[in-house]
Amino acid sequence: MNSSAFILLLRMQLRQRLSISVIRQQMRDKPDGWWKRAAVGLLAAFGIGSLSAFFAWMVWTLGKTLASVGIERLIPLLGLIAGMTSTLIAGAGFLISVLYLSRDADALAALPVSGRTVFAVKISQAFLGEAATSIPLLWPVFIVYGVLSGGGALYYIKAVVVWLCALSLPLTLSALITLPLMRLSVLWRRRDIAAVVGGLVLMVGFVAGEMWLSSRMASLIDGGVLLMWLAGRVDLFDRIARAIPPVWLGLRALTLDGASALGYLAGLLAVSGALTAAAVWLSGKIYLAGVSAQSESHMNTSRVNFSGRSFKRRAPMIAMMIREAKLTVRTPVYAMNTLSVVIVLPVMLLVVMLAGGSSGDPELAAFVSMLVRTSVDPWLTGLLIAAMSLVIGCMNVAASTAVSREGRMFAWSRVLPVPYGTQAMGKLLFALCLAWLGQTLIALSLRVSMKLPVQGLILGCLISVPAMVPVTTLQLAIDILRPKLLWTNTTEAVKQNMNYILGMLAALAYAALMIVPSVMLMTKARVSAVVIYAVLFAVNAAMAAASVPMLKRCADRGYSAVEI
Amino acid sequence: MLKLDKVSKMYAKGGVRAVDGLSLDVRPGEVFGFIGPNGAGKTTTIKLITGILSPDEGSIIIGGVPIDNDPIAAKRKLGYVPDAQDAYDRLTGLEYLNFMCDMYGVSSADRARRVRALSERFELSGALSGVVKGYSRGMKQKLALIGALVHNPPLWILDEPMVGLDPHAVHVIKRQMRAHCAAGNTVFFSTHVLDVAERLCDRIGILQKGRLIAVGTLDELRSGETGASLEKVFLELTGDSAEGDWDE
Ligand SMILES: Nc1ncnc2c1ncn2[C@@H]1O[C@H](COP(=O)(O)OP(=O)(O)OP(=O)(O)O)[C@@H](O)[C@H]1O
Ligand SMILES: [Mg+2]
Repeated sequence: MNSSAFILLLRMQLRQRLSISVIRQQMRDKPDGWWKRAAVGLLAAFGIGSLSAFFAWMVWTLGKTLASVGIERLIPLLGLIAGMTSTLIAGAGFLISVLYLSRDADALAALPVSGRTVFAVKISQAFLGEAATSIPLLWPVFIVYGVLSGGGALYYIKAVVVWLCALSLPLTLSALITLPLMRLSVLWRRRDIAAVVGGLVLMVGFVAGEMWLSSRMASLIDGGVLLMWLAGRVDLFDRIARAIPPVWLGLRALTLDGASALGYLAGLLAVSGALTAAAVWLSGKIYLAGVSAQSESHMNTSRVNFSGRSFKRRAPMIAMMIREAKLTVRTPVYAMNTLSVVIVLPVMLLVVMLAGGSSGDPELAAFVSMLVRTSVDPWLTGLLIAAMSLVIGCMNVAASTAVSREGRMFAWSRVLPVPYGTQAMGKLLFALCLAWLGQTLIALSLRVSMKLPVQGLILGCLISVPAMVPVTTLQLAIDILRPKLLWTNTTEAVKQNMNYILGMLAALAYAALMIVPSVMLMTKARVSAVVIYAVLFAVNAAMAAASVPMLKRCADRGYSAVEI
Repeated sequence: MLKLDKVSKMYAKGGVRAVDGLSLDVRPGEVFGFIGPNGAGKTTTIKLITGILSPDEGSIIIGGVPIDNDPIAAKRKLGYVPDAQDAYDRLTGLEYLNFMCDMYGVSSADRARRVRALSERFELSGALSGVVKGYSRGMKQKLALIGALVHNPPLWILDEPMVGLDPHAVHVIKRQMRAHCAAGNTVFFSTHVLDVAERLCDRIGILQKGRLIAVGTLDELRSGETGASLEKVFLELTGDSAEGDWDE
């Protein structure tokens, strides 16, 4: 691998990604516009910061409780498991888009540098991105444990190494999975579908596998005198950690002192080094072939039937919605980021609950039965379900990146003889359909897995179905007013888009504003549930009705104001 | 059909005056060619006419409708072929054409007839069921051409339409332009292919640094120099730095 080419390419890619040159030019030309951007950035930073602070506080409280019985080791254990699995799951989708679906993939392949170098540049980029996003998740964990166990400078040095390995390991692992997958996909005609379905299956399969493992754990704990004897000698948690070797290595490196800890640290470094070397070696063989396979697409040459029904006329708004749906479902990254929320989350919930409930895991079963018992009041259940489906709906990127996803095609919105409000309504309709589908699936899976009362589900939908309209409109409005149209790969358009975070925060705020006071009034002030529901329904229905004219006004302003 | 009155556009980024007090009158039934050096402002002018950009000064009137008074009515009269190769990659050609028909309100009966006629003329009917991602550059350009014509627009605007087309397709597009005008419509296009402009256009406008430095029929542009080619006229008017020593 040519190291100077590697550094040059990586620098170029990062500049492009962070739009450093664009920002510089903007600062020169329009110093006042810069402040607006800074304000938005601060707002988002504040939102993320407050979430992260809340999370740190939770970790701290949990850590103190655990430390009182001497098992604070559980904190880094859970942190490492969560960090590694989320990097593995998110990393697979992210890698596919960065490695294979970037617009510049062809151009890079044509450069006189080896496939390995291009691969190394791309995966380093993914690594840096994951490292940045993992800071608010993993560092509270490391710091809390450090404080609890009184770790010194050496502990924090070890923590940095463990943190970097905890990211690079799953990332290279999913690279090792995706490299052959993409190479093999040459043999499959509908590659985009393969990528989407493969990604979804990977996600569900991973969670199902975990559940199976933990249910096996549970039965191991229950059965056998020999196993009981084992359980007495080796901690249950250590056995869980041992099931995932990198977690085990990281955990030991962090929690032990002295030379033995350094031994585990060396082991961790060796494993991640070996995996990285393997991934880079493999990429030299098959990466570029996989890239060229992705840029091909299946050519349907069947003749069009000009007398058939394929020429039906549709209203512009409906046509807009259908186009939006087709583009989203057919673009792997968009499909993963929208469908995963709508389909994968309810399915995961179902798997977790069913596996947990039936395998006789005592704690989970107790938790579920507690939930069911406390929620015999369908009115209260309704509110909780409404809150839950709103929060899950917030994570959907369908609305909050609807304009950004147009990218350079945005110019067409100005050319078409259709009012901007109508175009935006088409996008809203699509996002709403997805959100409502997600709500229905969540409600169904709650019914099946936790046997929640049907009345509660219906009451919940009564609130959340109209509430979804203002929430989705808000998310769309944010993207209309400040879309990110300059991007080279589709991940940038959705996941590395500030609007996704802003939309999520806005939706969370709306959900909190609706649900928290209602729960307070119902439980503390004993206000009649019927009254609360009537008010909530009326407010949300009014907000929904007000959303449409608001969106139209916003589109009229936003669509013509964006600079292209 | 198309009237620009002292139109100016300055890009906020960079402070370039891309179009500078441009006045132009394109008459119904004519093919108007728009030529000029790279960076002269041709694409910017076309983006102003199509509503992608809005002018800092001046007004644009399309078929009697000022674009800032009634943008929807004005845009409905346009068919636009952009210069970029961007497309909705994940739609099939047919889905794209149907989408354009829906946007311009073309009836079911009309669209089947027009899509069939146009796609056969441009030899694209065999590829319409395939996704645009798998199209070649020229196929994408043909799809854009058809998409701009499905609603039979009174004003057809094309930005460098010949780029990437094979000789046969160039021939078809030239015939299509003439036929479109013969039916009483107007064609406005920018190009760097001077032979095409010379033979095809009723009138030609030459743009330099955002200003119209000459406009008229080929004879008027020659201004006495009989027999001079458009290339010669163009190089003289825009000041050719290509002459002189070519040492390297
Ligand atoms: N998005 C933009 N931001 C800033 N300046 C721009 C932008 N687009 C074009 N310009 C500038 O405006 C001027 C005119 O550009 P335009 O694209 O209209 O030229 P053109 O005549 O179409 O050139 P070509 O023959 O190369 O297509 C150029 O100086 C260019 O640098
Ligand atoms: Mg141009």
